[in-house]
Amino acid sequence: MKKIRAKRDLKESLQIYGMLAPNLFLFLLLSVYPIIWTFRFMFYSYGGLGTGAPVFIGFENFKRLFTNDPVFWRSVTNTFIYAAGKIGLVIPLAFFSALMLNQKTLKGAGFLRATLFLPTIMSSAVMALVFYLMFNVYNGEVNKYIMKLGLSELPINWLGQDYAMLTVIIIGIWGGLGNYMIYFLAGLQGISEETYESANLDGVNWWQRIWYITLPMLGPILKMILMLSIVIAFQDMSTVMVLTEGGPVNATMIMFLYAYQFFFPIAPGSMIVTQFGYGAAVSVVAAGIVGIVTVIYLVLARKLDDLY
Amino acid sequence: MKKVLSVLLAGALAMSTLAGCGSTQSSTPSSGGSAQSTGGDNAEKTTLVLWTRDRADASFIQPWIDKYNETNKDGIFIDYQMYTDNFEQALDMAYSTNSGPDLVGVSGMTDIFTKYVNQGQYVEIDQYLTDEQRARYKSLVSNGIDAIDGKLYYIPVFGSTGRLFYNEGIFEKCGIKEPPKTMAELTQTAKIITDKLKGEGVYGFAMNLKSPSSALQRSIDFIVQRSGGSKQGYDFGKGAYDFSMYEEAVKEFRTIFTTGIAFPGCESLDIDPLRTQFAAGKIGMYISWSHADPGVYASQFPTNEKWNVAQLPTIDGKVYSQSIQPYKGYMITKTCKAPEKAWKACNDLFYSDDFVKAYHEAGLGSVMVDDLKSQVQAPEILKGKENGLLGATDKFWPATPQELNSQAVIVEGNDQYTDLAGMILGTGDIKAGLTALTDRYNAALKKGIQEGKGKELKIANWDPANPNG
Repeated sequence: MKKIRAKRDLKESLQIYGMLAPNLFLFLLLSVYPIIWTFRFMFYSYGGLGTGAPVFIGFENFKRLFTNDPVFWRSVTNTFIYAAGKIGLVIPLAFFSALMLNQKTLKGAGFLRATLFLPTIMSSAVMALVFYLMFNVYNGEVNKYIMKLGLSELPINWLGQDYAMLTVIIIGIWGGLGNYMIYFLAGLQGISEETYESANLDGVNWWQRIWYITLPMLGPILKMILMLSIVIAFQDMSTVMVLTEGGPVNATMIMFLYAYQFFFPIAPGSMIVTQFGYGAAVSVVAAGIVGIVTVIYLVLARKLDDLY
Repeated sequence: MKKVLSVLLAGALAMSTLAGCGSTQSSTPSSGGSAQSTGGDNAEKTTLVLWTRDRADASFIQPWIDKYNETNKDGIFIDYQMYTDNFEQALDMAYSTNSGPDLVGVSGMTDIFTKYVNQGQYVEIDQYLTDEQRARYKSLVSNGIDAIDGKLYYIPVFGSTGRLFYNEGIFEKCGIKEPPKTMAELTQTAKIITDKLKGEGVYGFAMNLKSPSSALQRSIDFIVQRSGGSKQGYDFGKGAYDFSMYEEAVKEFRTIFTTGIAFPGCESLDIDPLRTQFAAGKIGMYISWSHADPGVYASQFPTNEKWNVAQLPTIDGKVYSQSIQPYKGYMITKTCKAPEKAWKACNDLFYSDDFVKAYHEAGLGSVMVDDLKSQVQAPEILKGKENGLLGATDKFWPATPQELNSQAVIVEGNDQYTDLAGMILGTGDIKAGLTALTDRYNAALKKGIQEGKGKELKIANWDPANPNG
């Protein structure tokens, strides 16, 4: 009897592993191998394919990164500014949009949902070009309206050194709003109507409903949304790459774009030489920073759980 | 347990960011190249795969290739393939897997020559040249540009360099008689235009500073060379980097870009949006490549504006020389199975007098073959704009250590163009910035020499007016 069961278990296991095999193979090839590759080459001086054999240099790449690369540290600061700006605005906006669209009495809610979600499925690189046309200082539509409304006498240099980061954040919010709104909407629809009805009987006002019922009941989904938004904001790159190439003069240079250009120089005729070894070290440190931020967030989130 | 899970989760997320970074792959060629016999319509023919970075001139070249494919009696079929971005990455992949094309076109940037010739990827063509051809192309042989250690790998039949493009109509409106000859005059001329026509949305000067390297390679580098200075910061007389000669030019550009003289938004301007604004009559002057922009206003952005081309200004008005970028040339790869046929195709088509003359007369490039210079007519689009062609002060300059091997000068921090753009836009003290740049580049060169990747290039009796001696 035991033998038969063991045989059946083995058969089942083989079936499971057989079904998992294609996924595991792709996971190993496309995720694990590049990570091992990155971890290996961060200790090498290696210019890329065809530039000679990699030379082991120990921690030299990290020494350069931590002691002699102000551009990287500027990119770290820029990444934090971008992430804080984007998350700080997109999450409340997405929440209130979801709240509004969750009203059963709202006419055209479906259309509004689709409209707000549309940016999520559009190519950010293509949209960056459209935003360039809208925000450019010499004939952009944004300045035209601002001046027409009397908000500014002179055109604002949206893509100049002073405002480029703000513009990139605005575009980031535009691209992420619909996605987070859908998550919030899913969470809101999971809150039972009876809870609100009993609160109404107790005479709570709109704000109290939000603060004491909606937000606590959205807790688990809010935690997931915040974590996703942190990771996504820290990795956002394509919009910046197309819109500003990290400029003007590194004003919008962010961590992963900085790492990327050591593998694929982004500007035509760029004098940044391909440095796969150094780029790997930059990638690992950048990923480490994202990891630390995520851990801090998870710890804080748990403490908030304990608190409430 | 929860803590462990949190850390593991954070680690997994960090890993996913790493995977995203490490697994980015360069684009691979649509079809690997090697000389091969093909069936069908091209039965008995040898196919030569040609990879190029051709863009604006592709519509000119394609019919020539089509005609050659139909009419040649040597059984050759050229498969013409164009790449835009990631050309170098495509070549990297192809060469590392021995699946490269048979022919590679050089269009302006010599990096794909020096990088791969050092790896032995190209076939030297001296073996195919006749004595007559050797004599004919002698003046075009330049170490680090098309030759290494005296061995020639392609013939740069056309050349390009930086020129000042200006709007004659705007000049007339502002009472400006002639284009500026010094950097101070450039600032002054730009200021006159902006002061007078700003109300109409017209500004004196513009630059495509979105990509500092693209903007400054075509402008300030040539201005400094022409003023008797270094090439991309490298001083062949000293055998070291020295950016001090950039000071005056940077100062003038800083005045233009920080006092409201320049066209608004240059920090984020690409070259094509700049050209559209020039074509719309909104920009008085800008600097670009001699081979590229005349054609742009004939086809890409047709304009009714009266524009012209001038030589670049220098720092004090004294002119030495400025370097020529080779434009067009075809290299045979080591993986080509029929190199003789590849050479035959190059010789009979791309280096033929008919093709070279037609290409020049179409205004796509300035011919550099000495005996052909007197035989060609000025292109229609450059009639009355002869400064758009190469002239007596345009010469081949030696290749810098970085041009000879990009891995020989790995600079830590910003590259020169990002730093120069920062200074032009008003960041920091110019003198201190240029000194720091000089120090960083020399430190990088020293390291490259120590590692055996680069070498000091010091030329005795260096004369920037006669850079090839």
